[in-house]
Amino acid sequence: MQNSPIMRFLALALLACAAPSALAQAPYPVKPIRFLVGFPPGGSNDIVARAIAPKLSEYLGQQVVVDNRGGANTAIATQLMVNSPPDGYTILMNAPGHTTNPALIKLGFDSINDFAFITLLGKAPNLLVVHPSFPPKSVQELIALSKKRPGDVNYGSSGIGTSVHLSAELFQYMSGIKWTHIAYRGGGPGLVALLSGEVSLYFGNFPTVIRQARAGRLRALAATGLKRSAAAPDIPTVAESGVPGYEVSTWWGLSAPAKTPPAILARLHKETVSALNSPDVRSRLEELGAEIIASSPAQYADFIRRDMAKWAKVIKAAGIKSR
Amino acid sequence: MELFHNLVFGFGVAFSLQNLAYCFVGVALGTLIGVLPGVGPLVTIAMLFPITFHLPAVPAIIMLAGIFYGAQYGGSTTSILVNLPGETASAVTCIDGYQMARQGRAGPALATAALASFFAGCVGTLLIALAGPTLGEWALKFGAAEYTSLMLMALVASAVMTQGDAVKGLALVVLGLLVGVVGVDVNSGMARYSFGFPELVDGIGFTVVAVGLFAVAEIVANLESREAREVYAGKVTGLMPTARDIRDAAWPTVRGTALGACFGVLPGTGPALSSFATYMLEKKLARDPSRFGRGAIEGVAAPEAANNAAAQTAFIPMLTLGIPASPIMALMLAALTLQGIAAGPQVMLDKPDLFWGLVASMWIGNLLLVVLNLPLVGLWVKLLAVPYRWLFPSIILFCCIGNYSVSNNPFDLYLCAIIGVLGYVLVKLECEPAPLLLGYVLGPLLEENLRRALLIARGDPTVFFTRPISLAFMIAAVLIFVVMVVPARATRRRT
Repeated sequence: MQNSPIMRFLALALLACAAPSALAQAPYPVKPIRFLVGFPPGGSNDIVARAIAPKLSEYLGQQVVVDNRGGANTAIATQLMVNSPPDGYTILMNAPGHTTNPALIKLGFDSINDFAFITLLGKAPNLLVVHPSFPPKSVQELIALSKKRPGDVNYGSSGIGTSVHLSAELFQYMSGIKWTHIAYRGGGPGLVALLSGEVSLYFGNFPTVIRQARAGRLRALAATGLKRSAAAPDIPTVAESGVPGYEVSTWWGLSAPAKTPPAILARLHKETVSALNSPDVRSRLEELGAEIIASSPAQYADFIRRDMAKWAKVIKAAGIKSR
Repeated sequence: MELFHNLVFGFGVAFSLQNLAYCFVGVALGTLIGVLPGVGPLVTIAMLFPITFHLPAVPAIIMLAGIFYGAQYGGSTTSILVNLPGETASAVTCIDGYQMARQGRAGPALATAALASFFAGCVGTLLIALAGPTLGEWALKFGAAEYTSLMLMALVASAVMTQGDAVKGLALVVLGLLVGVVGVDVNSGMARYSFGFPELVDGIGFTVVAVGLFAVAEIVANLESREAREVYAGKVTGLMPTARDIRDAAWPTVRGTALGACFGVLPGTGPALSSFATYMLEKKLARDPSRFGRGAIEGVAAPEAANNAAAQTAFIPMLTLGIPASPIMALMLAALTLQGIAAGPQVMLDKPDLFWGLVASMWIGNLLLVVLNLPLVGLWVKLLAVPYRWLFPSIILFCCIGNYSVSNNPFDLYLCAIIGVLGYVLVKLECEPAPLLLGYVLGPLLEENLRRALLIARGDPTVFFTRPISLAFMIAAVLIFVVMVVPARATRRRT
């Protein structure tokens, strides 16, 4: 009886059940990691995630699987991660929506305390571009014209609360002028409207508009980074052309649920930074006009806090209602 | 003559073994995903996107393009066979294609769809080669006012689509409008009818609505009666279209191609709207409009031609202006950018092998698609012989997979089920789901552009009549209205 095959099987099964606790000491990771991205395939978030994922998979020795969960400007993917167990097997790509959403929509999570911030991957400036027929040739001239004719200049955006929209709101807020906002559904239609001259002004994402500016179909007035972009050093920044301290970036960062064990976070940080230093990933990000940051977790958390405070102020001043 | 040289050069590029192989892989994959509902070209292209990093630019873009227009071919298959729109643009094909299948004419319907698509594909390709840059510039003339008038005209014309009871039709369009405005309002950023669900903030997806209304509702209605769903295979009459079919389908195909080519160039309207528009046009032009909705071959040929023509010409703004007019084109543009190619006015000069190679490959791809699809017709029709008790669980399964794969969100499945119930109620009330879908597509576009146009004009409504293109659409809308109303009143007076 003691040695019957059934008993032996049961004993083995018991052993197998006990195994996970024994394996708890086994080095992380032991199974594939889910990498949540808050946008559908195709956008810059997806491109960055899919550039990093293979390198991370290689360094961690486990597959890192990109999982696109678009919707509500990253809020849906973010909620999903917050609800996941803090074991290092679910990570999230943060985007500017992370710091603007709290002032715009009701969220089911705390945008700071529910997260273990790992690293700020990189930043890319937006580009202030105008239709060639629009007179101002510089930021100074633009401000002068806007002061003379308040509310007369139409600017386009890719939708309420996007970085394209908020770049313009911050500009108006800091330089004390007023434009009229014309919202479009997404960056494509917004860009078309600018190219056709339906709107005069647009703060476009760098890779999309730089080509048009180089082809002479648009005129670039300034970049929104604090420093000039390495990809376009001839274009001045807004900050140096008369709106000191002005900075808006499209950025990408990596986070995990709060309470993820520190050892796992440290491992993720180390491997992500290595991935960012690989030439493959580097060239992918540079194509997007991005500067690689690879910050420490503390720097990243600090960046999130400051960014959130900044946008809360701008969104309130612009009179954009939360929903 | 230069065009001829360029085309010869393009064919030289496209006929290399490598490029041919990638073209074939692209269109074959496109057909496959087109057949599977919901698994759209966007998801597929995104998944294959990283592979293209390791390919040279020309084969990469040829393959991705093949997936996109290949999906337009495959999309009609399930629409015709089981009333399940495989692709956004093929929802219209459901209306008459499925009826043809029920009458045992699935073969001719499938073959017509493939041939009409081929014709449209050839014309679309030629248009890109001939007039790409000119058409691109033309698209830029469409501002908010023009779109508003265009949508208004389409909405007026949609009254033609409704069968029988005009009040019912109107009610359905309005219901569709309401479904369409769910989600964030573009102008104010406020969420409407989202009931606190973050999943509803971005609106209800087209796949969810179309699959729920057509496929799910149809299955529920079929299961209701025991002997229902006569096995169509029993009375299949020929696989290929007859001479009469071809005669009936010829002009609708030409008109569908023309209309589709125009819509394709306009950013933001796309294949879905073009197939609706041609369907309405054909119904208006038909000597006996009552045949529509009961298996008219024109109702298959025209929208299929339109959506494929639109799929080809949609490349024009992307290639010639560097404008990503849809998420799929944005992905193509990203693929080009990562290859270090700046799409835009210079691409024809800087990268002639890419531009002309792609154009030539599109024509080859369309040919491959016909060769691929025609022999499959027999196979697909055999599928109908599968007993319904086995067929319907698989259809439902595919509906679920398709809907889930759009945004990886289980919420969409519940929503699709609820819309399926709505669709079933409509079947019971003898209401056509097509006007609802049209309201859903047009409503938000009309509202958005109307408000935008007025915002830009600072509230001056004359803007719709002072811009020539807009004025033309407005006049057309009035004419359509008059043409529709006058005969109706005249007959009423006589009786």
